[in-house]
Amino acid sequence: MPIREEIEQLLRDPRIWQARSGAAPVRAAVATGWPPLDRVLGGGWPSGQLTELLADGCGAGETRLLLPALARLLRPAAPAAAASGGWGVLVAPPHVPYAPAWRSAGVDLARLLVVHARRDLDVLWAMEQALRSQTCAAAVGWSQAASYGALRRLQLAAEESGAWVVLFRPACERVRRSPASLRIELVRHPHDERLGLHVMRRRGGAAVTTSVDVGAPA
Amino acid sequence: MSSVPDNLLLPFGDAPPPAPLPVAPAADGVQAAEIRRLWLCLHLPELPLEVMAGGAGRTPRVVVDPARQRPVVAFCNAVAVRQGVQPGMSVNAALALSPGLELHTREPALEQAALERLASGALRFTPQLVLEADALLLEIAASLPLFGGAAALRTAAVAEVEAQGHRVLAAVAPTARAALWLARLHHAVLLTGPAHLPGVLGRLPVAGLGWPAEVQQALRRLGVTRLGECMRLPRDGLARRIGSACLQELDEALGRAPESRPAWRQPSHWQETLELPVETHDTGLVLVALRRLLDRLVAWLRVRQAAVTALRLGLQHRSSPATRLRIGLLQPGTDAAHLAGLAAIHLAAIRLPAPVSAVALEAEETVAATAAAAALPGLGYDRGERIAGLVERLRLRLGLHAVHGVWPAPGHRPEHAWRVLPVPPPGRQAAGEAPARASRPLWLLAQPAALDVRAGTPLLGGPLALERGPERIETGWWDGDDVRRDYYVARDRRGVRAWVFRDCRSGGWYLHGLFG
Repeated sequence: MPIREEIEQLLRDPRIWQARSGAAPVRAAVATGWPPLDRVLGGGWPSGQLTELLADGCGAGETRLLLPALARLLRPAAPAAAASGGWGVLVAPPHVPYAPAWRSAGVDLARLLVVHARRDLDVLWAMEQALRSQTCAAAVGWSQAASYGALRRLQLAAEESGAWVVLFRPACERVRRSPASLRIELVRHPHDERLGLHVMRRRGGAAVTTSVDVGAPA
Repeated sequence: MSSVPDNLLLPFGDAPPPAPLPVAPAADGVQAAEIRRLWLCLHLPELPLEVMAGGAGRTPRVVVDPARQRPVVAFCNAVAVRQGVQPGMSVNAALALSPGLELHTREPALEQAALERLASGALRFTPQLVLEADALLLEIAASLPLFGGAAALRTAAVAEVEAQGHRVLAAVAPTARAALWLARLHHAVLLTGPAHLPGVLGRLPVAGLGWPAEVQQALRRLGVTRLGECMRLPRDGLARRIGSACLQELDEALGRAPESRPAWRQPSHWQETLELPVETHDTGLVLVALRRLLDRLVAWLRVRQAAVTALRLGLQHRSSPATRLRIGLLQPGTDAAHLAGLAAIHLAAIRLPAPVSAVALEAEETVAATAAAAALPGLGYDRGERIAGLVERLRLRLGLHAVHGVWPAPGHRPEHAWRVLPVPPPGRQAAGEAPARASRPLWLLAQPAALDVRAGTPLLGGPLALERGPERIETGWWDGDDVRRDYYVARDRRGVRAWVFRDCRSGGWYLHGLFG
């Protein structure tokens, strides 16, 4: 068999991904609510995977970025929610989630659990518990200095539960290695309403930079 | 087999195998309409041995009946039988045969507890159940269609008792007395029609019925060894010789006289104690014991169609007062695994003052389980229980107030426009208040943070640009927490949007929220 044919045959193997073919569709995805971002991520936020968002401070629009997906997942009628109980947890949020605003954004507060944890260890433990309980469709946590091992456990718990798992970490953590299958660094554009997303790692795609117009507060 | 050996009193070891007496044909083919009553007897021949620590045991051991004047072997295990020990032997004789013999005094209370535990489990076969000293009697006529016939029901019941570690002999007969006699004499028969009753009972040895010794002697003098010969004697003469009580028993067995036996009722309160084989500091071993207790509790709950909301756990120590724990549940629980998980978290939080010798568990509060909770698997009915379990686990580690939900509240002051829900209500709620009209931030600071001011402009890592406002909020004069504030949407140099206000009375600037 000529070698060229052999290579062709090898390339048809579905396990082989070719960089020039663009982002491969993520197996199970939650639409982000921002179409440009959906295209970059191959359909949406990957469910059953750990998504790592690197950002310093709070208020740059990172919460608005997540809200459409959160609102969709926390509805009991959604099929993804039915399969996993349709609850959402916020673990160690930086401030109090202000109920009137979250409701206006369409989040079902009857399915949102707020968990306060001081130590970083407890943050990841609480997220893991939430995922292993098979009740949560979404888990969002804020961590300061998570170890690789702890992140790995979280990634495994995410895979088992099939839930959408987001962990916020300080931007300085980008130099550390991470098992997350999606890593995005968030950069605020200071003069307009865009939130810059530097996608450092995504499944089936090279690093890319994009931006989402999260809009001014209504 | 031509004859039934007479030494059937010997209940153990190499005793004759269960004799295949001629069983009435058409055992299961009898139509339900013909059957009025049918009794399944589950006889536990080794119960006094089995309730001792370590079960029937691999070393020779006997149980001595203290009721007798002279200590006599009442029960012995198979190992002891192989060494020549027999029931009825004096203890000294038994010790001569087997020097390593373990002697135990009979524990009627433990036997009763074991029987009641089995009875709880057997309630799933029939609500009509009688406890004898060494057997359970189940009235199964009405349950036959549910379990696919008498043979299938008997197999299921025997399997359940054997799973608890007991040796069991089961017989089915139309009268309770006949079933009891047959099971005690190792005849594992299945008699569903009364027609064959006299024939089968007639082969039983008189010596094995537990009749008084003088009655047995009187019959022996007449040359009567089997019940059939007894039945053929003239009735009035028989009554004179064996007394009315024994005659009554015979009539009951044959279905000629009505039987009256008090039905067993399950206790309405559940509490059990399990002795650990060795004292231990190891919470893992305690949990293993606890898991067994929880399995029994769940079986009890299932029969009562109840769920538990609070458990009381007592860890007993040899020399110090018991360690007591109360395990409260947010939602009624019926799942042994979940209860065990909760107990494990409670146990991990305490330090044992001394080794644990026994574990006591009590169902402190129970409620009626809603039928739907378990009835519809796959429809997510247990989600409420699971989210409650998650909340319980998180709270045990992080504190009671560390887990909550949030809910809008009617109030104009931002800090009064939301409230903490202890646990979010399961399912959807009515929408309640209308969405906020003005723009509100996604994150609210627990306390407004004072901002530095330079040249009349508030600073947040640089001067803030006020984009929108002011929105005057002035209210709360009635509760002493009155506010008079001008709120603005502001933006800092990096593009972060903040919700700030100027206190109209002091003139100071405060950060109150972030738009996220």
